[in-house]
Amino acid sequence: MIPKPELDWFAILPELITAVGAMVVLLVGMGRKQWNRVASIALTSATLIATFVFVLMEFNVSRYGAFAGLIDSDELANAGRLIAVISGLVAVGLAVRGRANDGRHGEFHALLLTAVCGMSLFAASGSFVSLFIGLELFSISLYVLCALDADRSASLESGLKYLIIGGLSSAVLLYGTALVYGATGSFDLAVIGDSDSRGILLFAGAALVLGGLAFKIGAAPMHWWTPDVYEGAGTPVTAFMSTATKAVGFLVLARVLVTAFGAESSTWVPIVAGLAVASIVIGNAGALGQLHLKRMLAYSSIAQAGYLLCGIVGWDTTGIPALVYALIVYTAMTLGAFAYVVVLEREIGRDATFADLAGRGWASEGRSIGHALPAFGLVVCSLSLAGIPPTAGFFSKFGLFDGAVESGYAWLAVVGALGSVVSLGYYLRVIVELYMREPNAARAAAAAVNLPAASTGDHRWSAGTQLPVVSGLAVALAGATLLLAFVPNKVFELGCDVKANLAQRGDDCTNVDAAAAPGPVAQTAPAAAE
Amino acid sequence: MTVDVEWFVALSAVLFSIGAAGVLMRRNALVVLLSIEIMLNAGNLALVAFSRTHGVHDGQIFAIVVMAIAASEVVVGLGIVVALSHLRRELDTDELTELHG
Repeated sequence: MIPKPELDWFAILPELITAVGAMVVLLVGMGRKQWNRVASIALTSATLIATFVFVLMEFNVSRYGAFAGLIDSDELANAGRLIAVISGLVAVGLAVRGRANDGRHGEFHALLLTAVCGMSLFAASGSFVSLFIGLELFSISLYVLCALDADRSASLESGLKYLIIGGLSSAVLLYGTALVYGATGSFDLAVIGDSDSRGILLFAGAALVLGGLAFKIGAAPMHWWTPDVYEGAGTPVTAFMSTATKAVGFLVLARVLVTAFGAESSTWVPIVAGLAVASIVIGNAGALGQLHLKRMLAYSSIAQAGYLLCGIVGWDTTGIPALVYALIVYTAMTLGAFAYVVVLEREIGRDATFADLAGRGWASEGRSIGHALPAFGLVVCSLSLAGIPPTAGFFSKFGLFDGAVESGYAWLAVVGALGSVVSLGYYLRVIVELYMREPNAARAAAAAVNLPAASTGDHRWSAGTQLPVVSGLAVALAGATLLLAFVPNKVFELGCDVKANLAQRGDDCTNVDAAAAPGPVAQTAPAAAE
Repeated sequence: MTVDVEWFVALSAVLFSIGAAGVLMRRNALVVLLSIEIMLNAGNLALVAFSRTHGVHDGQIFAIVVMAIAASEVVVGLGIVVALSHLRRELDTDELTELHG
């Protein structure tokens, strides 16, 4: 007689809501009429908001070992779910009347919901089985989302490249999972953490799992797909996948490394530190030479992945709370930057280069304050990405480097700080273009020559359109970036809870006293604010 | 007569390496998709072999889950390849260089 596993439906309710929503939206979106389009946008937003409300209500409820150990729904999972849902909502807003949305609104919104569903399952996975299913659910949705503009070959190329690299990383992760299973006899992260099997099989498996997840978070040296995929996909899709994928990827990486492989931390911490250095160096060096805004943001996201990895290096001190705060800040500022790219693309009718930014920061005749304010939003987001003090980006970087220093990796913080200095080279260029250059049509046209042919030609919207919802999002996200600078305390507390969750599950590696310790240490960040 | 688990793991490691080499070295998009399938199936073989060693069945069940997932991934991959060949008449991944920089 097989015992019936305990089915705690509340543990997967966010996934259920989004999955049901995706099916309804797919049905409603089949029609090509105006009301079908409006209804699919409304239903998608309603589904995401319902998920958001439910996750907030149940935020502090931990449901471990639901569905025979497949699901660990805790604060870490809920933090990942919130970020995925918010990115999804922003992507819906950015895509309103955009090309990815034109005639394919049903597919676009349904796939967005299945991607959010996969991400939240991924974030809540307590075993390698649900982890793999969640990963593939959101990855396959994203492959299709990237390739959705099937008449634009850059989009298809981006989708195919993402699929090949994604498939490779899934296969690496699966093989690592198989080796870990061979060493320990279980897929359950907590059981693997408790097992005393320490052989070559476990180490090889853990290395492959780390490699597979590093592809997903876009850390160097597994980063090379990022610029091409980010450039080719529609900008709302790029915004969604660069924030949500990276955020849940980092949270799950922390969960896997700490809960399942906590006892081997002396082996993987130096490897993660090495990945961080490689990402910071390659990301910043690559971003310096870019003319295309989306490619610049892609390389900048590789560098940001390096800074975020510092949080995992400092996992045994204050790294995990800092990581949670930094992921929330990263989501707000990256979405804000992409929102302005969408504003710009719609205005000029093709992909945007640095030259297109020239003079757009000023309100003048023909350019109202409604044009200049979103540009100021980009300034705020760039400063935050660079880590300049009054913005949240400074506190998030401060926390991440602080965690690395506390854990004895002061040199890593030095590399990170040097990388931030280099990054000013391209983030400040945004501000120089916006405020200190005259708009020059000839220069913009010359810069656009290097763009992929398909992104200059067949944009579905005519140049010169401006949508209040997109500009509004650009301003609101910049506002959120500033606002987050004033609440590091609150978010750090949440991060400490996440760390306590991890410690509770992998109790052979960390004791709960150590988990409570970051509280007072974490106060240094807000203290620096005053 | 039973075969030791080491042989299965060795075979799966060989298959995994063949698949990885195929992804990195072959240029036809269809062959690359095939190579990814080989890598996933190497994982499946290892899962089933270890499942027998440990005397539990969850490894075999996971292998079936992986087959379903791999099939849907290939469906998407083939769909994109077909759409791309309509536009470009081109399947050589080295020729896909519109996105570069």
